Amino acid sequence: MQGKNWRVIVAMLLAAAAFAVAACGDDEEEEPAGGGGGGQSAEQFDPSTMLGKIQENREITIGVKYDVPPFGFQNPQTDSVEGFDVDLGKAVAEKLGVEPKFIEAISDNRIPFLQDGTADLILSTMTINAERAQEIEFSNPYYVASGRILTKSDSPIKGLEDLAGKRVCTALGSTYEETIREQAPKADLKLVDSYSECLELIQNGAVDAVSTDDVILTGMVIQDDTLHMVGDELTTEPYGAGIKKGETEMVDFVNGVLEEMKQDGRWQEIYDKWVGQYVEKKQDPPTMSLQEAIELSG
Amino acid sequence: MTGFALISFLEEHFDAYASGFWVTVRLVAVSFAIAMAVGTFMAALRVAPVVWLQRLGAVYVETFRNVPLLVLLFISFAGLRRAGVDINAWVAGTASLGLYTGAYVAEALRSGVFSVGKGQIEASLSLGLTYRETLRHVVLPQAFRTVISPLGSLTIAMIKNSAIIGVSLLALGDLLKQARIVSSRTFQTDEAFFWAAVGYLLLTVAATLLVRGLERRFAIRR
Amino acid sequence: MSYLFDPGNWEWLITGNNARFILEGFLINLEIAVIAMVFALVVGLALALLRLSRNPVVSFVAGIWVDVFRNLPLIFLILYMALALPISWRDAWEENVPGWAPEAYRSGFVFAALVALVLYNSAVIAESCARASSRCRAASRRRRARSGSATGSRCGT
Repeated sequence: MQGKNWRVIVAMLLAAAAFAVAACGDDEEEEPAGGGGGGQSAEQFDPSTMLGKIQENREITIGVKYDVPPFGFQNPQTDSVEGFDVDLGKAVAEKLGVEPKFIEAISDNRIPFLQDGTADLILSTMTINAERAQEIEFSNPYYVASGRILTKSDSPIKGLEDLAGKRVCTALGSTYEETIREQAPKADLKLVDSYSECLELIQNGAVDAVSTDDVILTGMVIQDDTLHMVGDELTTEPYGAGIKKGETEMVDFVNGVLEEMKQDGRWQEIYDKWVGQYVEKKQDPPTMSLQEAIELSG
Repeated sequence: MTGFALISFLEEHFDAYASGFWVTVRLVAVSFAIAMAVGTFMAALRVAPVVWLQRLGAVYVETFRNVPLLVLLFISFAGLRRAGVDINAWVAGTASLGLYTGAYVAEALRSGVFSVGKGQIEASLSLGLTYRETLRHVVLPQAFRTVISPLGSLTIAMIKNSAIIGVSLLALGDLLKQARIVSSRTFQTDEAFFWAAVGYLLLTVAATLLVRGLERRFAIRR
Repeated sequence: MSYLFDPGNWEWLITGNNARFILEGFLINLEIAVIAMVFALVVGLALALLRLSRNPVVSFVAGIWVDVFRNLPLIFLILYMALALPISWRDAWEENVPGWAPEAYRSGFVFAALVALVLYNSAVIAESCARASSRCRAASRRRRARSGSATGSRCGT
């Protein structure tokens, strides 16, 4: 069977080529080290605690988004993850004296990751709410976003009221599932795995609107300026870092790092770098407490 | 995860599972129709005495057998929409699954046709039947009865592949999607996925029993 | 349709690292597939032997196992394993991956994917082997009955 053999050879050549190309790219696969990670200035923790174990392993696993600019996205040019959440994670790792290891956490697997220990810390645009607070621990709010609606510039949708009968996209497992179901019950909700898919759907016209945090929507507007945000703020979304239930020492540690960053200007620095340049209304470091954030969600 | 807790879990979320189950059933039914129609047509092309028709059929079969279903879904939905075709998720999903399975159906039917034996084709042609009449009245009925079993396993494969549609960006609420929604709402992954597994097994076992029944009645064993 | 043929829309293929990024992803697919194939073959053959065992209990249980895993969608198994596999197993994997293994194998999730792929494909392989073997045995039994004398078993088991 001459034809079949030829095809097999072509397939193997393609595979070999792929191997070769990838092998040449090895030097670019390093995660950028977070500021040296020297252990001398870091407080050492008891190895039986979670923080101590992290220090023993010399790395902390942080779940971030890989496709949500400007909070967490993988840059195809450098193969590394970057963004607001990522920089926060690096700061925590630096304070602990370990290397940060970033993994992808999408909306519907981030809480299971904390519960089973896949991730030590979750920094993935996760809104603090009472339901989640029962499953995991939250740090103090590190950013306050608000929910908005995104549509194409020529769309007749101007706000929540116009969503009835329209197709609205949001991510599986996000708070907007509930929010849209409650506030716009007649809307046709389309759930997908990640916001990059929502962007694809609204760009090709398969959905009429996308609803999620304004920062994520801003990231979409940056990529495609035929889109714009409409309507009032649907909700207030305080972001918090997620930590496994019961690990109060870790929560205090992360809160300490956050507080430091708010005081010494580092928060403002990463805010300006990732978010500030794209929004009209500049924000100050959030002063909301965790209790207030939980109460906000009712 | 006691038995009782499992059952009450199902009761609590029954609507979600029922709607997902029903969507999966409809997806599979429509895709099956498309696969059979397209597969039969392509098989007919493949066994036609005209070479370029054979090549056409071969191109279809090779293309759709070698492209992963998820890629096909993406191209048929996002790709076509970008190119200006206003195709909706349902059409894209069933067309993709149908065309994908259709390639395998065409192959199965082709082997079924070959099992009928050249002698019969030659005999009917010499009796004055046209090529199309030969196919319709002599070859295909026998071919179909030979291939009931392989077609049955293709149907089961289709039921399993329908789960991929739920994971893609088509955002159709099939059984697997509903299980993930329930699991992200309640954080109880084991229970949520258990009932989805039960749903899929119900469908595949039903299909298996149906195929066995049909085989017993109709199949020709060579 | 001009969208497809406009060269401006294909520029992303040659700019930056985009093509390499995609190829590297494809490489990961291939790597996972190779390992899964090897293990699925081994486990599948073992399962087939269990399925064909003369002990009715073993044969029955193996039969149920094979039927369940053949009939569940692969994507379902993969998602479930990714979420439900115990973290200790994933950690064990990450610690024990040998240094010479490619980058893609480092993550514990590869282990979850491999488990799902092997569970599914071993069941498929087991079923085809078991069926082929029993058909062969039935045929050789018929041959033996017809010829009256014992012909050599050409079926291997």
